[in-house]
Amino acid sequence: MTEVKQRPAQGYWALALRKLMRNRSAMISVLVLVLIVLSCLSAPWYAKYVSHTNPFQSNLSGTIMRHGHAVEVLGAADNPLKLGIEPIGPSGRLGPYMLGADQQGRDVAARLLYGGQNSLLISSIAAIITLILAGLTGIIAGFFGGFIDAAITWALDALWAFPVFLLAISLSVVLIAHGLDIGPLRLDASSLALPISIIGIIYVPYVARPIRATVLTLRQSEFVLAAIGIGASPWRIVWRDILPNVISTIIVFAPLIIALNLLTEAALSFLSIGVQAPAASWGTIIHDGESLIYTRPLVAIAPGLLIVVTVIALNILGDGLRDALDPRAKLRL
Amino acid sequence: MLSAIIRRLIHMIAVLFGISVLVFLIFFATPGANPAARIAGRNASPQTIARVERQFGLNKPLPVQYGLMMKKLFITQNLTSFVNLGEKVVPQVFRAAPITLSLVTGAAVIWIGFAVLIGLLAAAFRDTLIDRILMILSLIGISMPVFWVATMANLITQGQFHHSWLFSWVPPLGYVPFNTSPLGWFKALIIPWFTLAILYIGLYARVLRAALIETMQEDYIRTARAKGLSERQVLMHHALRSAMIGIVTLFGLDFGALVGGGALLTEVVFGLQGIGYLTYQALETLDLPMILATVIYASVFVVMSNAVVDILYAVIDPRARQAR
Amino acid sequence: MSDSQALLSVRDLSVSFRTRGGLIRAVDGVSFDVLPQQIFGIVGESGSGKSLTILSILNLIGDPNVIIAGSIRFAGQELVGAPAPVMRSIRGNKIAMIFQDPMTALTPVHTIGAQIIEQIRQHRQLSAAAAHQRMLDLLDAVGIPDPRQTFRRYPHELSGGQRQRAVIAMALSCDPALLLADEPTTALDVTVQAQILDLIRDLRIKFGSSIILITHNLGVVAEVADQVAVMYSGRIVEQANTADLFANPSHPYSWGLLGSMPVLDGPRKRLAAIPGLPPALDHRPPGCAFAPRCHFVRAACETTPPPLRAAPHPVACIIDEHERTSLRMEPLEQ
Repeated sequence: MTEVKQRPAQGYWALALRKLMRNRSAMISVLVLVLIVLSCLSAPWYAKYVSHTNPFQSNLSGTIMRHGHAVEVLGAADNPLKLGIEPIGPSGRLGPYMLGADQQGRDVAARLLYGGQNSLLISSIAAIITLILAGLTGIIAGFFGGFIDAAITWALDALWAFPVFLLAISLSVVLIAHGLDIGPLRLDASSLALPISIIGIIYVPYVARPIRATVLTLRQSEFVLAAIGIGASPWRIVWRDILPNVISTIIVFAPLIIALNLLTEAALSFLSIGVQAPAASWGTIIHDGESLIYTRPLVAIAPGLLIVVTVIALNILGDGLRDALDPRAKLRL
Repeated sequence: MLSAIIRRLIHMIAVLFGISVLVFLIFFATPGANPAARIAGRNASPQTIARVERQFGLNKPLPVQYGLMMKKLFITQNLTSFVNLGEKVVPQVFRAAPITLSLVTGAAVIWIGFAVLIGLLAAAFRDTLIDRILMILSLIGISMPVFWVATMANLITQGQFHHSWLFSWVPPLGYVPFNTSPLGWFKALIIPWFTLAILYIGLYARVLRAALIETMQEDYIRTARAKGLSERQVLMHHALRSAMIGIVTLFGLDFGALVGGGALLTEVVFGLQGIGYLTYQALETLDLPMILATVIYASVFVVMSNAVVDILYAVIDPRARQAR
Repeated sequence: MSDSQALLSVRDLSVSFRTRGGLIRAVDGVSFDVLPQQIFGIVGESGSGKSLTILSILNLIGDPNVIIAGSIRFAGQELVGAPAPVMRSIRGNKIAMIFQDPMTALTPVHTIGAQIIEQIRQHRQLSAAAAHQRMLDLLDAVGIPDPRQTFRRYPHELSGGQRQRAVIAMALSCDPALLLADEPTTALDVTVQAQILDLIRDLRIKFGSSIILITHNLGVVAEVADQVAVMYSGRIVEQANTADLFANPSHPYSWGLLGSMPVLDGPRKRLAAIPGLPPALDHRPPGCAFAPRCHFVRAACETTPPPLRAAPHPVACIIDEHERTSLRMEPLEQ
């Protein structure tokens, strides 16, 4: 994948960092991502001091003050026959129900922030799992070759042969329905560990393959052959010569995998097999918003916009990292 | 040559076998899974559950159950649903196939057309404003979750603006068979086509642009210019031809995956009852035979498209033919 | 030789690149003439600017930061700054070019026949059948075996020598008056090199084209060229007809080049390498570019670049003609 003829020189990382900092759009993306993360982390304060509601509890019969008179949070619908209920609309001002309520009377803005926590957490941790597993399998397969390589490649191919999204859905459906109960391991159906591990595992072949290819190329390069020739131990070679190159590949992949995971988690949650109620994620809120789409469209629009902005920022950051670390890399995303 | 084909076929069958076993295990053997309890329904008495087990053969050892399912699916083709009792699974799948095919083919035509156009323009006008705008649009395209775009599309065409002249022609959600009304078929599919295409346009435009830019650095491009060809001729006859190789293989894989049921989210939101929709329904209701059928159907397409892409690669890239 | 006779007339050509560190001059005031049916060799080491010189004739440098100044007149037409349509009608038509590496010079996804026909039909109004026949004739003329089968082949299916022949056939397809050859044999085996050189020599007779041949190999030049220009650090330091250059080299750099060639006949002696390296393009010394490495350097050499003086043939060196003969025999190493 990359053509590295020697070990990255001293100051390689420092140079890359400087290059990255000169990239204006990448820096803006970092800023946007930091803002989003900080906002989501401020969810508890928002719920307590701004929206004054518990976003996980239904509020079916509450009322709030708006423009001087009391308005029902879940009022009668605005059609001639007064059929159905319609949650309160956005107030447009910082305060309770700034973006309106969902069909259970919960504050949408507060749920968005809490949902963001879950979405980002799941995506990031799953990404870490994927990258570590892919890095390990890629390095071991590429470096040691032979039977180990054949076995690992076969396993990765088998896993990847199952259409990825269907695998995610299948595993989610089964595990979310029943929870996981293997020996000492007990995971409740609503545990976040379930989507995290599912999403973490399914993309391992996708990342492991390029890493393995890189390691294979490096293995044949002159400096590694020389190291083997003078009798350096395999671990030392892996640590000093192979790992730095693989790490730069992993760093470039990282934001893109997080973005991919974010979209996957949103899709699973949208289908109700990701994050489970009463917890929120951006995907579940879009699901909630679907039934309100014609009356209170903001409930579905807002989380989608947040996803779009986050994924765009991650992609731009990924491009910037690739330019800084390894301009000749070819990534599919 | 023949031995290579046979080896490939054996490999494909082995993969499909592996996938079918994996699906079976996931749904029948995951700790906590209890198909009989699901069929019997909530709060069923143990006697009911036991009766259900006997009726559906769920008390037999797993390998036997697997064998029975596979036999009913492929050989006798009378595998019946656990949910819609008595309804045969395989015919349902084949009824749903044309819907998915219509959706995916139409979207594919649109996305290839636009992606090639955008990729070419962006590479030809590289680093100018046109390029930046096109790439930003592509970036937005790949960043929007497809089910959200579909929901937004519904919001606009079915909701707010349905009565305006722009969208009054959009029919209610659902599929209209081509035989019933070609125009209706078209009108019902056009919004879903564009929705599904947006993601892939963004993706393919970016890939094509990168491939074109890389190809334009090659020596043979300089030779082509030295022959007196115009930039447009150089781009279209020499650079594009080489760059498209990567695109075609990518397309083969994506198309195969989508036809097999990968357009699940689009189908669900637009109410098109294709394979993806069927798969989703089966998963939601844990209709195990249907799940087996749809997942294996999907895998067949993925595996086949992998093989087709490999063959195609040899056809379109002369350099690959030596290896055969 | 008067200007009106020359096919190509280059005057004061300079090729510069805009970089973050300023303007870098890769070719600095090069002038020469090429006569009809003449094989003109340009010799120099890597980085001497020889490739850039001929690329600028057809404006093929392809770097948005390049600046070309000076004059290149071809059959009365000024090429520097000529509009794109004019250049397109000349490229591949009146002036053609062949490049160093035949493997990467041809588009891998089209057959060689198709690529040749594409050039023919770009400049000539021929029917498909006539173009096809001409393509076959060309392949035959360059010595490709069995043209009726070979034209269907893709570039990677041919050997290196055959590929270069195909490239030459393609370049000659519209009977250019001038052929530019950038190291055409460097990427080939020695035996194939000889064949290609023979072919190039014949082409002058068969097709009547002039050829500018770029190489770093003096042996090639001796074999094939009529006139030779020696380039160093972006400038021509000596120019003569081939016999004269080898009999009477007049520039210390040429002495170094010739001294570093092994001689088949004559006493075996250590090959003398010229000590040092050519100057970096952004750090060219103010005077003669070769001065830092010149064994015979004097004070005046380091202040002003020596102009090309025409005795007995153009040399860019201030050493007097009379001194030269004795100095030349001095061994270059201490």
